[in-house]
Amino acid sequence: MFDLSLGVLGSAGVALALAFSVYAAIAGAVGAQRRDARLQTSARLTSIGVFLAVTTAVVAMMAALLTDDFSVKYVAEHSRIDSPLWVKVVTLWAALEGSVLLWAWLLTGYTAILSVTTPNTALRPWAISVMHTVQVFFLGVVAFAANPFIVLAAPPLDGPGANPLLQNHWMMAVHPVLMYLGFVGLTVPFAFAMAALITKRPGTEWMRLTRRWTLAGWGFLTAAIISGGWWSYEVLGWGGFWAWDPVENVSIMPWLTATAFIHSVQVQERRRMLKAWNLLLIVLTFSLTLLGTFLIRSGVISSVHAFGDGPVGPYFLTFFLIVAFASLTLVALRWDQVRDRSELDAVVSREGAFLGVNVLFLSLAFAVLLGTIFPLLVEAVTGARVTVGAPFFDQVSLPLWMIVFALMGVGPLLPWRRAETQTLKRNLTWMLGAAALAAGIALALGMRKVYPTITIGLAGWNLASFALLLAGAIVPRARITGRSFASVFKSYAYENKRRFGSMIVHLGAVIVALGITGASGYRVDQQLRLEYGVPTAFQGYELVATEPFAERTGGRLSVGVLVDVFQNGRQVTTLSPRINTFGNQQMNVPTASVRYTIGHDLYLSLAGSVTPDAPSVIIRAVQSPMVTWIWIGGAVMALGTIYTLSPARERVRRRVTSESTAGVEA
Amino acid sequence: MTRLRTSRSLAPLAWLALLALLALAPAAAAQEQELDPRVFEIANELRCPTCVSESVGQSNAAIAREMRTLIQEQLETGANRAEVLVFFQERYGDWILLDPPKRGVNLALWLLPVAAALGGLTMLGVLLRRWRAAGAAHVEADPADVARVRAVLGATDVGGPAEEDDEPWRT
Repeated sequence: MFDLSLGVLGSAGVALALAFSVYAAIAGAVGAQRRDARLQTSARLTSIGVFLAVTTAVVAMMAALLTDDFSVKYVAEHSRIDSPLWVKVVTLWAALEGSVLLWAWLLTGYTAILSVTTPNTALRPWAISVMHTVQVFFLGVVAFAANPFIVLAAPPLDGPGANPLLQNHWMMAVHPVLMYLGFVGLTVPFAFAMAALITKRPGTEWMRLTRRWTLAGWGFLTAAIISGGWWSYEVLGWGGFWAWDPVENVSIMPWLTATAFIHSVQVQERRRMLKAWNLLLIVLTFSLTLLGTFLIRSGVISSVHAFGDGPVGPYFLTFFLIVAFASLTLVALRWDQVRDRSELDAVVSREGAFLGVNVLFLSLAFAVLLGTIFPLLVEAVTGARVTVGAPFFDQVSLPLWMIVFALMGVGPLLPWRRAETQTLKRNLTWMLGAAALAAGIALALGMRKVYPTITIGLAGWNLASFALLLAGAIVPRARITGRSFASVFKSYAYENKRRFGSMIVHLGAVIVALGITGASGYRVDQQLRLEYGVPTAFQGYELVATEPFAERTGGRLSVGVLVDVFQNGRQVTTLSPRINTFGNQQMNVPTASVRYTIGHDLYLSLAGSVTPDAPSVIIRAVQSPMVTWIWIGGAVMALGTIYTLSPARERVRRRVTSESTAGVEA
Repeated sequence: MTRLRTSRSLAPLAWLALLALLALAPAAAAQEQELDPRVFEIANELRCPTCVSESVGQSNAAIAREMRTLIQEQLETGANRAEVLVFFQERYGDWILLDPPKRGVNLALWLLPVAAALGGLTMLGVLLRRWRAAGAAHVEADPADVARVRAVLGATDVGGPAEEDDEPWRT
């Protein structure tokens, strides 16, 4: 009897999707070229078929993981019978092959939604053809280079399980998915940008059609980066959240260029400038996601977070080169259409600020890219080994970040075209006053470090800017209409989603900046010997190790120690730093135990062994001021993005009544 | 807590497993001691030689623990931060420093981002001049008109920003 195994089903799904996608890419392009509506529709409908085929493959993989079907190679290599359910689910993206499958699946999902929802414009068939072309690449990688569905002739009885670092925290269920949603989301504006170039319509149409996709992609990427920081904090055991590790770097590079992009498109929407620049930015953003994947997946750069080494590196490099070459050629071919006849009234204006912030974000991205690949370049050229670590990235990026935050306060207050000197002066006076006040308080409280003090000053600067923005929008209207501030504020926030949402996102960025300042500028990191039952002082706390413990939960073996934490003679909590081991894997994962507070975190991690008869235990104790603010700020940034994207109320066309014109003299 | 207590029955098994693991890593077990906060500040500037892109301060590798102990010992003999860094630099070369020294080929690393930022700003400056020249031909508003508009608006201007870009605010 022919046995349709899950592996065969998955392979078939991927192969079918690949064939469909090749067809749709060609049919879309030919249909667009010949203006053949039937072919175009056929390509669009095929998108749904592709999505369903890949969904079948994903379901097959999920079924194989959940039923411990070790005849499927990926399951045999990365899953384990006694893992808890959620670990089996997230194993889908815990290693290379599965994560490329997930990436491809999300891409096909986006393409299917685009095919159904995008209004019928000249851009649509080309954009969908480009999406399919990208999809062909990813499905090709899944089918040929990193096929997770290979059927093993002799399946093992059990597998090794997922990487212990990944099983150790539920954030693993969230962070990678967010990251891929972000990457895939930013593929959409890229596809429409290509369509705009092909159809010689480099106006604002492509960016208006994809505005929501771009913002959503950016929001996902932001949330992914912040949640990745939290994962590092909880799992890596040294109490930090960002180490300028290659994997972190390649995730922030597209974020930086995407941030430049979402600011820069507004200049084109408003002033019809920067056509070519915006096209290049989105090409750069998309290319950087591919280049980054190449760098960390090919093994040319190693990283603590690179959980899936494999054979896909050369494919990503090739695709990156093709994308970069094709897009740049296209821009060059269309140079006559994309050239701006720009004019600018004044440098001190909203567009001026956006241009400045573009240069800053691009410089940041360049510095990060250079620092990441520099060791590689030097070794290739001279054979020497060099190290580029966190201190380099801090020194290069901090000055730029400071200017970014300064501009973030000024930019939104500047009107388009030209700022009025008098108003600008008054605003800047308020903001400088607030900055001086904030920095002064910091100095009075004993802060002496340069960047943290500047950051606090800039936080005051930006808070003043928010206050001025809101006051400028609300006070005059409240005066004219006679409504209360609260009700004017409510309708302002409700009717200006884009602007108010951006304020929320900027506020979130300020909160994140303060968190990073406290946590990296003022953390105390110490290794202590705790004698059982004897209080040991640490940063205003008394730590008392009470007893060692051991427990086994769902394939995980934990050995740790209970530590009672006292503050001012009162017990505030009990922490339980531990070492986890999973299944029969050799790797033991020191897992920290954290007391979260808004002011600072107390972070305990085992630095030595725990034995039943030892009189003491060695603990790594970290006090990280304000680190929680990073997670809160990240959440605020995500909420701001959601607010911006939330559907706007149908604008009520109000008639001009005698009431609303009262007070306006003829 | 209850979960911990109920799991006690499993403890002997767990201890056995852990002891087996520790037997595999005697070097790590030997490096257990108290470390000063300054140790980690210095360790964060050194690369863990056997790790992939981790600092001595972050890593749990045996060599990283050993190096932290070495730093502690050096500090106890009165060495300062710079002397400790030199100690490791002499043994491992510049490669051990996460902050690449500003000399030789590393100069490119330090200068290129600065050059890129300055180059970008210069290019922007040139473009801005050109665009401003193109935009200079605009009609200036008559100050009398401006004054009249202000009067009509009730002179309540508190220096507010330009209005909503795509969703015009209506009063």
